[in-house]
Amino acid sequence: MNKYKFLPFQFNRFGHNNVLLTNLVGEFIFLSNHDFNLLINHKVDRYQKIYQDLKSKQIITDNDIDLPIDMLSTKYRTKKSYLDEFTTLHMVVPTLRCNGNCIYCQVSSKDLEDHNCDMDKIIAKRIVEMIFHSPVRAIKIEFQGGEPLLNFEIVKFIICYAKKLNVLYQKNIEFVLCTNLILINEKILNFLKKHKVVISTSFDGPEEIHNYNRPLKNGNSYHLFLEKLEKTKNYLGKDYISALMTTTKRSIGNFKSIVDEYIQMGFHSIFFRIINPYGLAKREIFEMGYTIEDFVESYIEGLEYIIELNLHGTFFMEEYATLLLTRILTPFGIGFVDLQSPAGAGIECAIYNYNGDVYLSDEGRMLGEMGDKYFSLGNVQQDNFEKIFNNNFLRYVTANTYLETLPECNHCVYLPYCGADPVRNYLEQKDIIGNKVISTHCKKNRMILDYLFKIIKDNNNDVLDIFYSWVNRIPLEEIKLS
Amino acid sequence: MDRKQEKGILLKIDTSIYSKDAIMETSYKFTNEYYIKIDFKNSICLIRITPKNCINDNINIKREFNNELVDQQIRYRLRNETTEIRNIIIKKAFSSFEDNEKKLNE
Repeated sequence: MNKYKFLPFQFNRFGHNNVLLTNLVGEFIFLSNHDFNLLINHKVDRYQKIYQDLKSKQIITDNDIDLPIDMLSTKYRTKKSYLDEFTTLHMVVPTLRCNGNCIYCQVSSKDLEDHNCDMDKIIAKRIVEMIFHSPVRAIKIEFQGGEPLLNFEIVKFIICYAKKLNVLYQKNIEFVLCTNLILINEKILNFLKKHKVVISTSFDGPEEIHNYNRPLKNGNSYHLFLEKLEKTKNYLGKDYISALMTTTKRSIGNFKSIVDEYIQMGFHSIFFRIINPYGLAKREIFEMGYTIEDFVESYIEGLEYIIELNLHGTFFMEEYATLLLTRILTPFGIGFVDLQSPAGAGIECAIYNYNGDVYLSDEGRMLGEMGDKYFSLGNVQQDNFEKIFNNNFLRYVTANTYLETLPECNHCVYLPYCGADPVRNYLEQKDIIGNKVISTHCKKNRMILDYLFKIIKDNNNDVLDIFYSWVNRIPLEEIKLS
Repeated sequence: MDRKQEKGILLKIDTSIYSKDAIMETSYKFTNEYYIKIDFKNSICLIRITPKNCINDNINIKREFNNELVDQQIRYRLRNETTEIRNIIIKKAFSSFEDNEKKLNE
């Protein structure tokens, strides 16, 4: 028997003849069943190539334990670096009013004249002051809704007041406006350009799908959106606008045509987003429902199409795959709230509702609008920063979403790449930890990661080059030239 | 309880070979499609596995359960061998933030 020590790792059978192993920080290796049996019985010979591979991937170590401990702890700290940057993303809801009628809307959409659900300046001021209490060096203020342009005066107030306070605090500050673009005009664009505000919009693809998913209260949604999109791109530049889509029953099976629309509109990426079962979406889930298997089948079809486009010279990314590949192929962390352990909700982001209520995530706010304020952290009018961001409930959520300690997750081979979704677990199972065996979040991630690792195992250099170009977010030709 | 009337299958597992942890982890994994009843009696664990949806595939479920049990037992052994190192790594990962900043500021 050879005397090597195991370092912490997870494993799972991969197909009939292989085993996938991942270590604490996401480095991975495929072994044949035969080699895996040798490994776990301490029978891998130190002169075999596989021995050196296992050492380099920090699955095993021989006599020197200090060096791998140092290296793994440094890498682990890098992966968890978001914990050092407490609450970088602050989402603000200036109004619940909306001029749209999206079938999957996650808020109770108020009518256009109901100004009772508009944020006022007193609350807005308190929110900005609260945001600047966050200890991070860089903050992002993101306006959500409803439709924020329906209360643009408050959006302007918040941006200007934040910049005024920042003269003292000197943080790196960014602004994002989530909008359906329908109300955009030159005056608004002028302001956004002056303050370098980035736009995030929703675009669900071909006319038939977009109009079905996102009908307006007045007008043809698709044509109006295209008109405003063009105007915005011309004014701000295409780097200041991005889009994402939400999958409904109409979208299933049509991801290729949705990608084609995105390319035609000049976008360089798409985020194939699964529907969230909150707000209006939950009430109409029968109309637009699909299984996780349906979604992943379409996802894979869409991803294969995107890879094919890249192979033929069109640089285009799928954002969720890019996030996962960043975790798999690089030592770096990612800032995506739903893929963190412990959950990013509350500690990486927070959302301030029009009335000053603070929630640990937008999905938590949706539940609040549905009458369940379980994920509320407090209110800016009554509570200070300490009471909202250092309370027992947030500690409870954080402590119970550290996947490394949870059943099923703690030995999952995909642990280093996955994250907790306490709000979805609560909604589906009335428990923030949830039974992973029936969790839709878990199922979706496992199926997508199975697929990505199948591609990685196939070891096609052209496809792997494309993955690296996505992770670096620059076209392959530019990487090859540099 | 009249065992003749119970559906599903009954497995007998030797607890001198398989740990309780491994048995529980394996059982947990099957709770989406099966009802699981576990009894420990001396060195034997009795597990009754009953399908939730009336489809009885007793031979395959036995095989799948046994295979999973083997993997979970390996995981249990690996966990025991690596817990101490894991704790050292994580403790070291989170301990040095403040130390490095202090040194830089001195």
